[in-house]
Amino acid sequence: MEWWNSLPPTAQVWLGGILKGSLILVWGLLNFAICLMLERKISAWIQNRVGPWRVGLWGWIQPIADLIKLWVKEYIHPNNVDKWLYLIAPFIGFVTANLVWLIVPFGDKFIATDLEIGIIFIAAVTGYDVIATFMAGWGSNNKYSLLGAMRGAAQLISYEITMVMSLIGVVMMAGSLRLSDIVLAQQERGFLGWFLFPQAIGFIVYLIASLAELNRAPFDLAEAEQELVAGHHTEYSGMRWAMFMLAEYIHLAAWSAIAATLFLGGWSGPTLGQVAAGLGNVLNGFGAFVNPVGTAVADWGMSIMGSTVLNWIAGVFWLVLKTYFFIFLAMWIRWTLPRVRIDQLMDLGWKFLLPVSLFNIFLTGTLRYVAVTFDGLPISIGSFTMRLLGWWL
Amino acid sequence: MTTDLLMSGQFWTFIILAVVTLVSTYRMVTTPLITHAALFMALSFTAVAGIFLLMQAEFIAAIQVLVYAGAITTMIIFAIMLSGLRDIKQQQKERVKLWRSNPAVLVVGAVFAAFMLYLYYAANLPAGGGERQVITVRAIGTDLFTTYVIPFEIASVLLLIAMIGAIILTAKEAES
Repeated sequence: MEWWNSLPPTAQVWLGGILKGSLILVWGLLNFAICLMLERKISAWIQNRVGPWRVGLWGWIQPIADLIKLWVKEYIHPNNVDKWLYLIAPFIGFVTANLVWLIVPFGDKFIATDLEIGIIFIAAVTGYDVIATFMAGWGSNNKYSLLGAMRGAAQLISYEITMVMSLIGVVMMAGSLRLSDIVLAQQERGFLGWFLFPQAIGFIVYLIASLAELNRAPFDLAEAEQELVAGHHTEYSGMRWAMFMLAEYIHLAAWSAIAATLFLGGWSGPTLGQVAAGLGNVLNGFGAFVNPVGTAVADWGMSIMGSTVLNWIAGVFWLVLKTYFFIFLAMWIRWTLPRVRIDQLMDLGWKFLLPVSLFNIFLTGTLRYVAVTFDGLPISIGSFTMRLLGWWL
Repeated sequence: MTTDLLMSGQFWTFIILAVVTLVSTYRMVTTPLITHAALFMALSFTAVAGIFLLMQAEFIAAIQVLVYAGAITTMIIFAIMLSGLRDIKQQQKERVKLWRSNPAVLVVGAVFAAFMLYLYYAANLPAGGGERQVITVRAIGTDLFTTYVIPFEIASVLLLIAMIGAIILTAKEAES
């Protein structure tokens, strides 16, 4: 660390930024490879197939083979495309997908940039998705692409509003837009403190809206294969097409991580030290028959409890676990539900989800007011029922 | 002082952002395709958001991106798509008219520039160099709901009226 401190502050800022950015990029690509494979395996499992099986053990190296194939593929460049828009569009989508990962906290102070405006940043960055979709659709000079892009843009702006509204409840409960603060606010009551319970309405609205934001089935109208070939990326091939796929899966992982952070307590979970200490306590029979093995395990747990690196590893473990729970859920939904129609999609977004999320804001505000006025009462219905259950049991 | 300025990343970042803003704004006006104009506008909004970030005004930058680069650009793109007005028709034959309107452009531009310069010099700007105070979202929210609550409410009522008006107008059009 000494050579790092000896660097001038400007160099520290730039080098740190480049390093963090590269790490986030690698992390995103890693998630892409895993998600791609999971998608193929899960879809095969749901449809009673085997899925990729040839490359590597159980076909797990398939995504690398796919990427190499796409990498060496010829770049087909149709005539009469709007050249600059056609060339730039895939990269804008890719960059915005990675930007969301920048503000996801992986552990206590283990975060690329801890922006104060966390949730607004997510909403702002999503805006570029619309532009990327439109650029691809318009630039391709293809009617299917343009139709897909228009559907995609309409869907994205409709559901972006709903999604942000569904998150306001969480912000009201945590009292901050900063994602690390939101995680810390959920740690007060262990796993009962997760915003999943008091913000159940917001959680469900967020799940539906984020599926629509991601253009995933049952809301994949922008690239509906049976109607529009492949929507806005019909004319793309090779690595540029792969960029759209990369963006899609990195986005999926990023939205899942945001959901895990906001509703499932993010990185919070028992660390190795806590587990060892608890295990030692159990081996000691909660003090009933103290033995050397139990004491040793408990002491070891206590000694590593303060280790920053181990706590960070535990944070990453819990965050990844929760993230992949959401990713699995999204894939499960994709391969079991049929696609909705565009008018059904718009009706669902504007006439049902948006009013419901507004009601959720009203409810959260009222209950918070009640909680503040009558100090000591539980903050919301969810935790209220949880407490009732607690007394009752 | 000058060498410090030339060495600082902040200065060069500002120069790059400013050039991007100016060039994209110029291209927005001169480009023959209206979709390109909309996208150049989004680029200039983004560069302006970058300048806000440079001044550590994170909230303003995010709102700039969210409202301008996100919402307004999308709105304009939809307007272009729904109106069928894809190309700006270049009026080759009426070049003469352009020559006649050029002095008017210069006059309007000069008046605007003079006005902006007047505002810049007349404004009571805080002296630089001191400890910069970062304005938090919490402070903005507190101010909005205490000191400026009446303007805030008036603005929201105005937006509500505009929204209802738009719905009524389109509903009438859809009926007929």
